[in-house]
Amino acid sequence: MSHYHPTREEEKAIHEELASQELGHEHHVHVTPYWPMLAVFVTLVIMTVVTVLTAKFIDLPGTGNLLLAMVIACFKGTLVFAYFMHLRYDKLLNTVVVAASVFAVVLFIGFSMLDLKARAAFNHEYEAGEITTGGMNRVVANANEIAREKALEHGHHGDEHGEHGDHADEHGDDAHTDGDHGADHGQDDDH
Amino acid sequence: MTHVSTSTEDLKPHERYVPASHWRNAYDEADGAKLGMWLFLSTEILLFAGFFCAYAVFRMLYPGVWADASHYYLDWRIGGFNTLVLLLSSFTVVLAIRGAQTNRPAMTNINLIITIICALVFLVLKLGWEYYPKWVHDELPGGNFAYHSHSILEAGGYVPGSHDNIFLSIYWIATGTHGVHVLIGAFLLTWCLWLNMKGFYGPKHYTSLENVGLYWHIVDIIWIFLFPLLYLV
Repeated sequence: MSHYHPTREEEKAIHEELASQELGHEHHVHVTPYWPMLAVFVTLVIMTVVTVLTAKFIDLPGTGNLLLAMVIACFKGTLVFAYFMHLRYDKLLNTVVVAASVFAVVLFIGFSMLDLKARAAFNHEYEAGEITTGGMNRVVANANEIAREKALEHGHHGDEHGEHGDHADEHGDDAHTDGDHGADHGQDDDH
Repeated sequence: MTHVSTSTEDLKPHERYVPASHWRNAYDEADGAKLGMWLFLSTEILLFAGFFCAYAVFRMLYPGVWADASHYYLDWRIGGFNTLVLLLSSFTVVLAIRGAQTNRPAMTNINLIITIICALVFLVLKLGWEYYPKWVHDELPGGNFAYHSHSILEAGGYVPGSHDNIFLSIYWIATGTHGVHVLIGAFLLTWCLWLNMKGFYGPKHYTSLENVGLYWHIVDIIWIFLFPLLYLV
């Protein structure tokens, strides 16, 4: 049983045949127009000049300059997306992909900003004594406290074997000379 | 059926292009490739979103330092000129694609060459007039940053902020990553130029040219945002 392999010419003919059958000649590619693209390019240059001038010579209060610059940049970016990158003439699916990505960026930066603002409020109240640490913070703080106490005890009462009983016996001299080492084991014992 | 020619040897590469066998036709193949490119470009947007987020966070934490450092360390004229260079290169990429669509290879060639020159101008300005002087003055990211007394004198009494190194870290990482993209884009455009010279692009087939063009445009868009954020406001 031998398989039939079409030559490249035959394959091309088959493809063209299928293409003409299934889609006819409706799907001709959109040719990039010249004048609209030139107009977009000129607009982009003008907006670049505008963004420089507004940033240099207009002093808006607060974050006004930043917002204005970002509005202009978004306008320029949209022009590039829609015209230079053909999204306006393309299938909607490509636009959906970009929109999803931009949406993710907005979430990412937006929630980071919200988080930062909320954190500032939290820190302020924390410093004013209105909020106390809880949850894992407390556990961590306690563990550190215990570790510090153990280390101090080892440092001050290095010769008193009786106080730390088994612990000191197990580790011999190490437990006395190495404060951190002893502290680690102290924590383990507590757990 | 009159389209079965006896030989395809006398046709140009783009004229005898046959799509892979799992596609219905070349149009669908190009469309699929373009969708794939858009998916990749969306990840590029997310990559730079990390830098923009870092910028926003640290600007919010150190607003005063941010404004001073931006004006002291960066020259808006270089950034502005580079913006215009990139915009021009985007326009010429559009024209290059138009050349392929209308079967004018010379138009594609010329516009690709202009685009590549623009990419090189951008990189030369960036390296020679921004990165190199900063390198010499130790205006480097993170722990490599160091204050120099002479630069304070040059600036007419500018006292460096205690967080200038954070601004410069973000500047270096964001523009550096962008610069690498420009460099890669220049190589890709050169590849496209080579393919076009061999006759691979025509009205029915210019997929890789279009996708490289899309990549080049996204590099332009990222600069459109980086320029005002770092140099102006």
